[in-house]
Amino acid sequence: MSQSLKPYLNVVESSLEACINLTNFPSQEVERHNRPEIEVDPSRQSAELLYQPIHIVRNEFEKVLIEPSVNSLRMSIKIKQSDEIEKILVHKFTNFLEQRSDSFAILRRKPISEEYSISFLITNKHTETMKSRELVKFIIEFMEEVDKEVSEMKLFLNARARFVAEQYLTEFIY
Amino acid sequence: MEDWRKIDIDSLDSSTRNKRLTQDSILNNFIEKGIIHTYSSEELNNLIGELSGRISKNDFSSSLLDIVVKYPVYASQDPELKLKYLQLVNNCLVNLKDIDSIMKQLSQDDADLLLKYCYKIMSLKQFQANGQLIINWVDKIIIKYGQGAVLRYITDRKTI
Amino acid sequence: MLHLPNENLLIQKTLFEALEKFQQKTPIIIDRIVTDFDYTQYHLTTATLPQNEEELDESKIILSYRSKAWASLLKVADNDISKLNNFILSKLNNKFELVKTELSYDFTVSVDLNNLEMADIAQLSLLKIHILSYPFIQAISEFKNLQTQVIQSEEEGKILTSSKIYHIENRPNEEGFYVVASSDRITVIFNTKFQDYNDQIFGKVFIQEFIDSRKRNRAIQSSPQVLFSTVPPLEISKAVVKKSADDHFITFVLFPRHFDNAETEFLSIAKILQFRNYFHYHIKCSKAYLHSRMRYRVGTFLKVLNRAKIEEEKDTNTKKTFSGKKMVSF
Repeated sequence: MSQSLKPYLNVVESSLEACINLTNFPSQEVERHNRPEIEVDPSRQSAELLYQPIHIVRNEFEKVLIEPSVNSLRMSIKIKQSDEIEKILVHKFTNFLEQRSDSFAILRRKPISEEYSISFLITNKHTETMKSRELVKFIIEFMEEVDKEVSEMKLFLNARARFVAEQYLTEFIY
Repeated sequence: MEDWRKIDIDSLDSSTRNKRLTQDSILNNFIEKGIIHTYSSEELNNLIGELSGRISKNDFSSSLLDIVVKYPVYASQDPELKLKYLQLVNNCLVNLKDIDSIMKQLSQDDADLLLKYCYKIMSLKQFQANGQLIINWVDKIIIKYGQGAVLRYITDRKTI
Repeated sequence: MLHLPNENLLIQKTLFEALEKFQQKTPIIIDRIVTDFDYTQYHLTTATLPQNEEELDESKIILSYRSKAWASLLKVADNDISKLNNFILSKLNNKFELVKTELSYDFTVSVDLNNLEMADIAQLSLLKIHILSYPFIQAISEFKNLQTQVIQSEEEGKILTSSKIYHIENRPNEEGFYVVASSDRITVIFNTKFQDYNDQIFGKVFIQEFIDSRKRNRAIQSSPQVLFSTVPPLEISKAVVKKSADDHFITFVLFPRHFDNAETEFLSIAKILQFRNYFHYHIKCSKAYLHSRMRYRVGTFLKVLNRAKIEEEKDTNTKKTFSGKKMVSF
């Protein structure tokens, strides 16, 4: 892991751990409803149920936004994509994950905005059935692995292209 | 404290309160009650002048942060000026290299305030290129004061 | 599979089967449609007797060929179909008889099983390459002319370039290739397009490697030079009528050593003709690999997440009665 990545992941980890204190909180607006307050339409949100959002920005290509609320938190990650290949790979990869968001439980089906590659939505239901410490661990591991995976895939593509090209041109050596 | 028997607690209940709380209304409430100070353009200009004077002399000593944490700019009359001030704070944080020794001098309240600045700066697009340097500050604050610092940040309604 | 074979394996197999059964005196009746790259289609049928179309002549097989390239090939042959036909027949060693062209096909030969040899089957399975080699053969003869002209003029460093640009359009959307002869080289330029944005980006990575690998790897320095541009290269700029933003021009510069004898000539042409398919095939392969790799990765992420789930504690102390009911203690 690079020297500068560590503080970034540390900050994300502790910020996330601080925010993951979620409690059951029925809706104040609708009787017998229990909704993730962070996902409520902004015009109907109540400020006392939301906490200050946390931006953790490494540079404009890598950032995290954590939006905590009383019973849910939303975390969005922008995965590093420094060129067009990485952009495609990240897009495909996140698409893959989102299509399986049913089994991923904490994955949001769509990122909250174009700015981010992928979003997680953790509610008190999740922290009641899963260990929140492990959830945080999962997200940190995910952030680490995704970067690694994307750059590995890119290297693979280049290596393969090189091999394919050389093999083709070798056929012309008589 | 006023006679607590006379407080109409029903009016505090959300189901009877018909007004929805917003971030702005909380802030205005603070200002009205005098909990936070609204900087007039003149005051803020003085602050900016002092800070930029030090920066232009390349004086990035730890006392620089004293100014930052002593005068939290929660509210100001002119948002443009506030941005200019944040720019200067960003400048300080990016240029102050010896984080560890400064951390020793900061009290917990100072650190909490500094954390507010850090998160605020990272949320603004124009400062994001130097994010890594700000992250180093946040990392050090969390190492010293633990997650409590983050918890105090997310729950504090006095925002930069 | 790294390389795409030059032969059409289905033709090979069909003819081989037919020949084998015919020699065993149990001839089979065939009627097969076989396809190949670049919208090429073949039709193999058992022939009918010339005097009676109801009766089958089991000793003969009719092989028909159709492709999108035929129209441009005819243009190269000055719209003289017999010239083109004769060229193809000569490529097949003049062993097969040209018959009436089957409806909706471009070229039809009759294959006599009585004197069909394995070598002939191989040649027939290369039919597509033989047909498409026509512009290359033309260019090579032009190259030879230009070369003698230069030698005769005794001017050093003089390079003549033919005014003829052979353009073969063998795929829809104006995809195809151009062949231009000069006195010291033959330039082949492919115009290829990509189905979607992703293919285009992947394609760029591959093209870049085609260009670079020759410089990097000394062992393959005598291979053709590869160039790339998104605007028509100078050699063919006057021949490109329709320009679109999606055009990708890949140039191969064939040097005399790539066609100095019949064998290398055939190999070079066959390889060049496979380029577009090879190129796009490997883009698809890479995509497929990345796809399965991502699938696998998603699975491992899921495993990590499942570790976070709180397992329900099993009550290990439940005793059961003999009949299987739970013992409940109060």
